Amino acid sequence: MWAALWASVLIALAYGVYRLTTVSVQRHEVLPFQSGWSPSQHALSRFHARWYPLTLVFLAFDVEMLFRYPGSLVVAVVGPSAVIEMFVFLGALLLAVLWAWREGALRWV
Amino acid sequence: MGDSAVAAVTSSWWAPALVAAWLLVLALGAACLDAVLATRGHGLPVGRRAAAPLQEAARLLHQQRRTTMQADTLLWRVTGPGLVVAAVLMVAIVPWGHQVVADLDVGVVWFNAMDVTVWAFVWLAGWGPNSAHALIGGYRFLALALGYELPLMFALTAPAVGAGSLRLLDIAQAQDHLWFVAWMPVAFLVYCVGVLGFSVSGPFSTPAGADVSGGVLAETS
Amino acid sequence: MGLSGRLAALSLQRVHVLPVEVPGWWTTRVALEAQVRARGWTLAESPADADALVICGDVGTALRDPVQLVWDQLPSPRARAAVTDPTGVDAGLDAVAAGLCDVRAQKSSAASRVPQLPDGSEGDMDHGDMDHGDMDHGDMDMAPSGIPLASGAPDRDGLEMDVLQVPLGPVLVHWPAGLLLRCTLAGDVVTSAEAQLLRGGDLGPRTEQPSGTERAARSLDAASSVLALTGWSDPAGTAQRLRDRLVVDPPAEPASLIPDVEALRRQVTRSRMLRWTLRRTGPASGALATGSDVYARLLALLDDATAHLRGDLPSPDLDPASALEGLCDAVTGLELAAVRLVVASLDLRTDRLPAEAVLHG
Repeated sequence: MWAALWASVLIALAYGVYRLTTVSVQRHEVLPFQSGWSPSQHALSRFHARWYPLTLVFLAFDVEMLFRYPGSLVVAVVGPSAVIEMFVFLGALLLAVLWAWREGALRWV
Repeated sequence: MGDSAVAAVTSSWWAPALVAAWLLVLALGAACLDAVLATRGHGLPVGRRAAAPLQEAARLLHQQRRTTMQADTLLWRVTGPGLVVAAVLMVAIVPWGHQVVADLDVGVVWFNAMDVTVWAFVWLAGWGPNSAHALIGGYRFLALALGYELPLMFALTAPAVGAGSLRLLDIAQAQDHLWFVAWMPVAFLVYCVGVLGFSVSGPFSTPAGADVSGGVLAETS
Repeated sequence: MGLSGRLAALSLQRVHVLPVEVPGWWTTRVALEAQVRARGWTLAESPADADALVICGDVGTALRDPVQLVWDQLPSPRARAAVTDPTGVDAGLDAVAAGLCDVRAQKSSAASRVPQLPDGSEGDMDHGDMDHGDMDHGDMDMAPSGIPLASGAPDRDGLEMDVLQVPLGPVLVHWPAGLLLRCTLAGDVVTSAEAQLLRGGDLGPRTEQPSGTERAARSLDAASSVLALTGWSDPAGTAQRLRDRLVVDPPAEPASLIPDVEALRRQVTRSRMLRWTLRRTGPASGALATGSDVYARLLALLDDATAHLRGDLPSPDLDPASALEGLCDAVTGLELAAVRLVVASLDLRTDRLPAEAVLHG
C-alpha cells in the first residue's frame, strides 16, 4: 500500500539526516547498563512465570474481540439478542479468569 | 448498509505522503505542548520550552548510535520504524470530510489491529538490547496493555454499533446529525485513555520510566 | 558541515547530564541539579540518554571503575567534568558545554572508540560468600562474548526460572550516593540482596549536626526522588525547586517556604492514583517493615521538611547504619522498581555512615 511506502520514505529521510549529521557513523558497542558494573549474565532469559498467564489471558480476550466485530455489524438488524449473546460469550471467558484468580494462578509477586 | 456513502477515495500515490506529513505535524505539536506543560515553573521562556522536542531530535540525530553486546539486532531495530509505519497505517484510513486515503470495509478492525502491533514493537524494544532494565520495562508494558485492551475494544465497537458498519466513512456519515461523542461520552473517554496506553505516555509511560532507568529506552541512543 | 554544526548548537540547548554523587558531596550535587535546571538542561536517566557525566566529589579508588565503565557507555558527543565545590558547578558546566560544542574534537574521539568488553573480575569488591560462583560453573561452555547465560533456580511456584544478578548503584539516578545493592532477581522480583557502601576520596563522613535548613532540604530531596521515580514529574520538580532554594540561596527566614511545602503536600495527598500506586509498597520483612509503606514515608518526609523549617525537632532520622542492615531483608520479595522506591523513601544519609560498612543479606 502506498501509505506503508510513504512511511518508509519518512523513515529513510530521517536516517539520511542522521547519516549526514552524526558525529560518527560507526556504532559503539557497550555493555548493558548495570549501574557501572559488568553484567554477570545475559539478560535474555526465562522470565518470571507470572507473565505467561498474562499472555494467555490476552490471547483469549483478543479472540473474543475478533468475534465482537462482526457482531457489531448485525446488532442493528438482529437487535438486542446479538448484544446479549456477545456478552454471554464475554461472561464465559470472565468466568474462566475468575476461576483462575481464585486458584491463585494470577498471584502477582 | 454503507454503499451509499458519498466518498472520494483518493487512491493516488501521493496522498499518503500528505497523511504522513500531517501526522508528523500533529505529533510535533503534541510534543511541544507536552514540553511546555511539563516544564512549568522552570523559569524559562515559553519558546525555549516549546522547542524542547526539536532540541531533543537534534541531539538524537547528532549522537552516535550504540548497540549492546549480544543484542538481538534485527528485532530491536525493527521497533522504531515499525512504530512509525503502524502510526501512518492507522491514520491512513481516517476520513477527512468525504475524502479518505484508504477505504477499508473493516476500518475499525484495521485500526485496532495496528494498535495491537504496538504491543509487539514495544515489547521487542525491551527484548532487543539484552539488558535487564529494558526487559523489565518491556514486560511492564504487557501488563499495562492487558489493562487497557478490553476497554479500548469496547470503545472502538461502540461507534461501529452506533453506525451499523465497520467502515469509517459510514461511521462519519452516521454522525451527520449528532456526533457520537455527545451521546456516547464514556466511550470517547475510554478511547482517550486507550490512546495514552498505546502511545506509552502519561500514566502509561512507566515502561520507559525512571524507576527502571528508562525501561525500554534504557539502551537507545 | 553546516547542518551538523547547527544540530550541535541546537542540541546544546538541552544537554542531558548524568550526575554521579560521591558520599559527602550532597550540596555539590544539589547545586549541580539547580544549575542544570537553570540552563534549561535536564538530568539523564541512563548513560544512553546522557551527553555529559558530572562527578560531584572526589572519586577515589572504589568508585573509579564503575564511573569509568559508565563513562565508556556514553555515546559521542560526550563531555566529562569533576566538580568538588558548589561554587565550581558553573565553571564545570561551562566546560561541558565547550567540550560538546567542539564538533571536530568530538568526531575524532568518536572515531577512536573501541567496543566495551566485559571484565572477568568486578574490581576490588569483596563478594566472598556470594553464591553466584556456583551458578555459572555449569554452563561456562555457553558464554557468548565471555558472559554466561542465566542459569536457573526454583522460584516461588517450584518452577525453574532463570536468575539474574543485577547490581543497583552506585551510578544510578535517585539513588543514595555510594550505595551498592547487589540483587538476585528471579524475573523482576528480588530473591536476595547484598548491600555495600562505597566511599569516595578524602572527605570522611560528616559528624557535625547539619542545620535545620539543610535537614529540610534533605527531606525534600528524598521526597522528590520518590515522586520522580513514580513518574509524576510535576511535584517532583516543585520539591526539587524548593530544595535548591534552601541549599543554593537560603532565605533569611526559612519558615517563609513552609506554605510552599504544605501546598506540595496537599497536591500529593489529593492524588488518588499516587495513593493506589504507593500503598502497601513497602519493606517486605525485617526490622524496617514497621508497617509504614512508601506512601506514608513520603508524607512523613514532607512533614519532616515542614517541621525542620519551623525549627521543631521532628522524629529522629532513621539511623543509617541500622537502616543499611535492615535493607537486605526489606527488599527481598519486592519487584525491582519497588526496591528503588523503597530505598528512595528510606532517605539513607550515606555520608553519615562510618567507613567500611559492608553488610550481607
